Amino acid sequence: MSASAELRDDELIARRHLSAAPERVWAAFTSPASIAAFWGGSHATVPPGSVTVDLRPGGGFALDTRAPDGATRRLRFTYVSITAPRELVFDEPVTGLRTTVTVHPAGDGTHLTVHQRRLPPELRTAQAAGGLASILDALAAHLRH
Amino acid sequence: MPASLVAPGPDLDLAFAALGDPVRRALVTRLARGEATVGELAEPFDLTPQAISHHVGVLRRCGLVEQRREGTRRPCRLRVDQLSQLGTWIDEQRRAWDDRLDALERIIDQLPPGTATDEGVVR
Repeated sequence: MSASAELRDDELIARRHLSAAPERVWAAFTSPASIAAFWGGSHATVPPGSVTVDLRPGGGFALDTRAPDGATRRLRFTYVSITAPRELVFDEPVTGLRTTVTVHPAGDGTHLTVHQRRLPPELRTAQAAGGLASILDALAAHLRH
Repeated sequence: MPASLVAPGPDLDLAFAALGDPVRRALVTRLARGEATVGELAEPFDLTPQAISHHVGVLRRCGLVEQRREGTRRPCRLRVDQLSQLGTWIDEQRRAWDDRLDALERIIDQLPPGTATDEGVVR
């Protein structure tokens, strides 16, 4: 099943025109330094050293968000599909949220959309277990280097 | 607030799953205009009252619809309070992503250009 057919009924969360080429926007979503620079928005900071990216389906990315009061929370996402530099689909096993980020060239920049849908609870449980395992694998691989 | 700090509770899970079906979304849209019995709900659809009854059951179990007895009629009513909870959750997601994309917009020009590798559709 293609990701687009699977995601037909989801919710448009955000749409934005950015004055940068799609490749640059793609890099922003897939490189640890830039994820750290924008993921927390204006409400949280993301320590650059906390971001890990394993860019392959079944791999994932993870990061710490630090709220102004110092509360830190680790967020973990699992990549579902990766179509550079067009479409990035990732799940958050803990919340069962599937997010699709699409990037299209538009004029001298990029049109970006974010869609989200909830995964059915039965799928979420398997995803959560699988997600955790792949994150631990990724961490182990990272620690070996 | 980061998107992930906003996690809906268990009955929102059921409600989102229930609304994954186009017939059930159409039923919710119809009920937003006012109460209706299963027979009345079935009219605009090419579906049997039994099929509609099944969909109403799913919507009832997740708390989006309630059904009461009025003599021989059993009208269905939309639980607007429950539906607005879904709306609130989606709004929170929108705000979190808006905030995140504002930040992206501010830093995008300072980022390295990036090298696009055409990996094709991996899955």
